[in-house]
Amino acid sequence: MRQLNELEIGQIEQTLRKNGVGDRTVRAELLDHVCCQVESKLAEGLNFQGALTASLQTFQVDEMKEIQASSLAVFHKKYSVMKKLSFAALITMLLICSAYWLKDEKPAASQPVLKVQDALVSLFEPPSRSPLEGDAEITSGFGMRVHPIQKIKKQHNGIDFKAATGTPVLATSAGKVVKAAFDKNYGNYVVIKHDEHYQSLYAQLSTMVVKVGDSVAKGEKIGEVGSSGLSTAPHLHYEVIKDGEYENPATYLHP
Amino acid sequence: MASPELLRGTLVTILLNLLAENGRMYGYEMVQSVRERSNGAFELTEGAIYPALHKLEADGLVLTERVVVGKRERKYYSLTPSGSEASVNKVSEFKEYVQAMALLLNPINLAK
Ligand SMILES: [Zn+2]
Repeated sequence: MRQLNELEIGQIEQTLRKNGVGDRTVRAELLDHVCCQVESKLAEGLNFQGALTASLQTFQVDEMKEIQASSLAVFHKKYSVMKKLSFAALITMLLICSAYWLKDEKPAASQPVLKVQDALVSLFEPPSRSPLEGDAEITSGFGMRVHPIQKIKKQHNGIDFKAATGTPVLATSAGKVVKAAFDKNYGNYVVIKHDEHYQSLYAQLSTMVVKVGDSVAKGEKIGEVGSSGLSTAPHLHYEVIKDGEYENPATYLHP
Repeated sequence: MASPELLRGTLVTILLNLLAENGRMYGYEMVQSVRERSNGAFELTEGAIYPALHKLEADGLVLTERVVVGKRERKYYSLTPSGSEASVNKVSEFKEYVQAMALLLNPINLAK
């Protein structure tokens, strides 16, 4: 990308100075900003004058002066730029203003903070914390294992945390409770739907404190550790399901 | 579509988070970065970003340094320790807020 030369930078600085951006510190910062804009327009194929005009249309001098005023107020400096305005500068400003009036365009009364077009923001996140507070020991990992009771090789669809009966079990991300029921294997278990892709499952609970349809926040208590269902000792069996497939929950324990 | 009033309160969060992720940035770079990362949906205006940055500077949440780049001066911003702390707090506060609002306004379809 072509960098502006000293002459061009000087011309832009004069434009800002003449139009009332009198504070040296503010002007230096805004000058760099305008120069960056101009350089990006040059890269699009405009010549220097065209690029400068286009740039000053999107970032207008009025806006610069508002920035200057607020900056001077914030840093408790005296805002006395108007006094320093020369007669020539006043004429220039009048010319710029009359150009507006002729085009029947008025600068926006107040600048918007953001121009928002079509934001597609994902509001929910996949599970991203441990279902238990603190450092709970993982006693059985995800994948093939010999089942502790059935003694056969079986896929373990989640991970098991060793914890005392009554330990609070927490939602690992915000979502909606889509199941809170009893199953002969899972015991008391809760399923939370987080978004279109992710669900999490909490099994072997002693008690459940949520019901189907409840909204839960990340970290909210949904039940307590127990040994219900097919279980030998108090533990939490925890699953993460993405698009119907079992994921290794160990990779979803942290933000 | 979000109103400017709604987004005004998140501007500081956006700026602090940008600096937390990128270390040192200048104003124009932040505007570009927000535009690119939001796929053009969010466009920070200069009239919003600079007063906000100057306020953060006056409040001691960001440090500034002036570096000569080519033939002109560039003002870089970076977080102070209290700025880093504020960034973590603001971002997690905002995530919680958005999730709670979404649960209130737009319940997930229960049909599987
Ligand atoms: Zn298990």
